[in-house]
Amino acid sequence: MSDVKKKEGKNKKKLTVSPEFTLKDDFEPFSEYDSIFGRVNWDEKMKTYKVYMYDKVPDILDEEQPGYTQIDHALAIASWTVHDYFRRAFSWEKLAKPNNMMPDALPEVYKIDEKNIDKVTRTIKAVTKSFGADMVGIAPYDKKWTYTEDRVETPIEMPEGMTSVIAIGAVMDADTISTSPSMTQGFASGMGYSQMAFIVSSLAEFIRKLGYRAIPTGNDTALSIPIAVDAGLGQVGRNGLLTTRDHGARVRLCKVFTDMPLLHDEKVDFGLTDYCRKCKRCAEACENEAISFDDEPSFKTYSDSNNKGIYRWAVNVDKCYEFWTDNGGECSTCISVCPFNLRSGLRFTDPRDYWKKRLAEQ
Amino acid sequence: MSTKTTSIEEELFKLIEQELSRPNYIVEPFVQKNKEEVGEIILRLVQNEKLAENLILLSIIYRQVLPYLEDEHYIPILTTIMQYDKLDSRICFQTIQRLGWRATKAQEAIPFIVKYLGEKQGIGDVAAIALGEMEYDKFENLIPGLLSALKNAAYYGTRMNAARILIKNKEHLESVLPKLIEALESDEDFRLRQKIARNFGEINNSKVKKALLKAHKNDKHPVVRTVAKTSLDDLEKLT
Ligand code: SF4
Ligand code: SF4
Repeated sequence: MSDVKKKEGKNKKKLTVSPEFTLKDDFEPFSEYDSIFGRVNWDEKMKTYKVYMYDKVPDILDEEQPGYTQIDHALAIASWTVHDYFRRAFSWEKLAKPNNMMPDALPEVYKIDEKNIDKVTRTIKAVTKSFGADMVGIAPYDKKWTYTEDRVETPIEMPEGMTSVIAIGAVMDADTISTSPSMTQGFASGMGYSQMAFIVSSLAEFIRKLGYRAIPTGNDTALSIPIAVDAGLGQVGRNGLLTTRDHGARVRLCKVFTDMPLLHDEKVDFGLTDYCRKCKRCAEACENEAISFDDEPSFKTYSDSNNKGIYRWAVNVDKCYEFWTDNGGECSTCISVCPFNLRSGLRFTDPRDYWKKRLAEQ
Repeated sequence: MSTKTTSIEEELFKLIEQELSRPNYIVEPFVQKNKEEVGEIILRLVQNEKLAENLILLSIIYRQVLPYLEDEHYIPILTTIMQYDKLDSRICFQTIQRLGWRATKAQEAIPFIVKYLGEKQGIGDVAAIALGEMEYDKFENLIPGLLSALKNAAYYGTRMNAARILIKNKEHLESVLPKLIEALESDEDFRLRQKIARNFGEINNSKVKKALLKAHKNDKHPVVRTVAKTSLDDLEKLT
């Protein structure tokens, strides 16, 4: 390469996938109505229109096939119970009677100033971890990641005054994830979602008891991945997931919005974008070629559920979801093959071995 | 060499030394901060073929250094390694695989990969796949290697990649279809079978349809049966 060309190349504005997001003019905050779980209800053009994740389960269950037995499916579904039935976990308001029989003490607003803000921030992180989180980071509230509407087109209006969002990661069980795409693997996701409900509801109540507003959320209300990036938990990989340095994408995300004064974390860059440029493991392993093989990230989109105007490797979520419906449940193959996940020594586990190991422990 | 590069080189080897005694991923953050200099240092280092004997050092370079280098160093480093006379089979496999992942950007390495076609220990398989990714202009020469990978590769992922490349090359699809159908019928891993079944949903051909009907009725794995049904429905829409 000539020196002039080299120089020109270096002076070009660098487009980055994360932790700084490169957005184009056509970027708009996303509506959850357009997400795959929203579109499945209304988008007649979608191949899986009105085909839900568990519709084919009766045809799929097979006692002869490891990971696809009735026990595996029951385990996967049961693990979602807290998430699915404790819907008030995601209440925007304080939880009150009749669930809580104790009279409410009316707390003063806990005083936070320059002198104690560092300690309060660390306390919030410690408390979040005490409730079961493995990773916690805090980002400034950024309106552009909040959904404009929920899955059924109800507009989302974040209350005025929200200043921070506490991004939380719960690491999913390595053995279980490595059985992907089996139904057994669904247990890791379901547990993650149920843990989410427990962690965010408890943390929100903690914050409210200190006199501040708290809005606990799972996948709803705002995009969890960019928020987790802003809060320093990781970066976005070729597989479109939040990828952490130590656990890869084997992390379930949730978040709590608050007006409590808190210190914000630095974003992290551990070189993931460079790594993903050179590595196509997740694209090769994907069960339905939903992950891009493109050498470089770009503004290309592959599905109507891809948010436009963001520089990255967009995932064809329609194809991904199509596999989930044919698989009778979620898949985590792109999580399990990632070298950042494998740093812990994880390998693919046959669902038979998974059960052998679990039963031997009893 | 500038003083800066010398001190970076010293620091890099000190970190590698530490990593050799206790793996801790301490090399990669340093590489990320000094990409350009480290790229030049490693490019010089790989000129010495003796490096091939130091497998532990190579494994650190592959895991913690190479992924963070720019193509201007990354591809020449791997291409140089491909030219070694004696190369450990695992390193050879990984080098070819990584060049394949750079696809057309790594075409300069094609002549050094071609010679591995037909090689044992999975190397011939990965060479055929990589050359397919790199859009090698004599695709017909790759077909025997890809078919052998599809049938014999020990790792299901390699078989899956061979199937993907064979299906992608529409020009030769007709001739390889019987082997793909055979893999759909008899591969031991349901993930490969379901993937072929899925891809067949885009191939409007009576043999494919027959194979899908058979998979839908008889495959022992429920996911393959379900996917075959989805693909049959897709084909129905095409006709
Ligand atoms: S979850 Fe499965 S189907 Fe979806 S992108 Fe990942 S590997 Fe592909
Ligand atoms: S598998 Fe490779 S390409 Fe995919 S997210 Fe992980 S590092 Fe990136």
